[in-house]
Amino acid sequence: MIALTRQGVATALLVVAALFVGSLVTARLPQPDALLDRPFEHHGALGAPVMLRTGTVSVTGLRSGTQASGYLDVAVTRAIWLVTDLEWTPARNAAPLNSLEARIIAPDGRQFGGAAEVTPLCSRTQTGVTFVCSIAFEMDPAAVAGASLHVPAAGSIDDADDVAVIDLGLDAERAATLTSATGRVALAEAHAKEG
Amino acid sequence: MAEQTPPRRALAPTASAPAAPGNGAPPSAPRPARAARHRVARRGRFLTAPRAALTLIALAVALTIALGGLNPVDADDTPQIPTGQVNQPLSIGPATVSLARVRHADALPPIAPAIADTTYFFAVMTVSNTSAKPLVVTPVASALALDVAGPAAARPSLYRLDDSLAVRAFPPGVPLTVVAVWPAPRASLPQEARLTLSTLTWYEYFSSDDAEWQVSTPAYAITAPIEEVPPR
Repeated sequence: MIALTRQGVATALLVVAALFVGSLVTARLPQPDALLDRPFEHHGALGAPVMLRTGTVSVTGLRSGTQASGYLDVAVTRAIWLVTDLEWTPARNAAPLNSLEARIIAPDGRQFGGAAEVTPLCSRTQTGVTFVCSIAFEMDPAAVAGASLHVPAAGSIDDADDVAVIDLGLDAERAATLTSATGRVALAEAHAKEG
Repeated sequence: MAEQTPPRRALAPTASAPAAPGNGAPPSAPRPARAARHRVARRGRFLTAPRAALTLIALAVALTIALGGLNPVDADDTPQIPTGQVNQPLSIGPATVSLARVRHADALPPIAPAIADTTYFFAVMTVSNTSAKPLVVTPVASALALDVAGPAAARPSLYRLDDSLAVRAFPPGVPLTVVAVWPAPRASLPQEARLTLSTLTWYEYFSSDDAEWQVSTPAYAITAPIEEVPPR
């Protein structure tokens, strides 16, 4: 029979406590798999090019209105259409700008974009040639201030791939100006940038 | 040493065991073991096997009654769907739906072209996406069912009231007034229609990273009169 000495009990308690503390520390450390599953964000600002593995994107301007017109349709909203004008230069392959998966994310986490009634006209592409096109987002006017544009290189903005995160410079004053617009904004069909 | 060891007590003395000499107890006094045997014998005479079985059966019947097992079975076991009202925002999970009216016409271009032997029912409603992400139209349309006379209509097509464009998605926090369109064979026009709204549940596939909203269970039923679309 093994005698339980005071020293033995203290050693056992120390080992259990050390294991407990170790498991707590391990649970709080970032795990390699979690890092690998995250998008690789490339941050930029309005007007500045952001390089992704499929090409380089930049937001050249913002327009807004209560109507947005595309190739065929005119969409009307009781909220606000925010149109982002972009430039896209494909890298090695003639990959189009991933406009259908682009999202505007508000500071409260709400996402806008995707299957919009006005289809973005950004499908034309050629390696090394800079194209101009537009994407329209139907948004809650209260979500415009502080919002940023997220453009994934491929797939969605949640995939573990390059994602451009572009600060649109929408402070309260700029947001108020944009959300008070009432006219019609036309999307630019993709065309090669001149000059 | 052997003489000082006290005699060991029998654990279960039997009736035939002789009384220990010199223990001081009168020989006629009932001993505890004998009294226990009497009690067991009396219980055995009362709790016979048939009586035990009857008792168990009675207990089972009482328990069944207590749990409602003998209640009369309803002739109509269709689950009762909570009733909603016209113009009442009703939650279906990621969105709220507020039915304004139900209308009928044989054609309403461009969303309902004139087709022989086909008529249309229109439900005008406001849909508000209460989630944080865009909500695609397919699950929302699948959550709408209109019961009118005749064959059950299929999933409706949804159009935006303000521009007549087909709805593709509902942005979060942007209420959209839409028209749900159900084609139906021409028949006698009923007086009222019953719109059923089903709850949407976020479903993540086990075998892949895909996930989507799927129609779950009927949540509300709204009965509304059917109005004719006014002539243009």
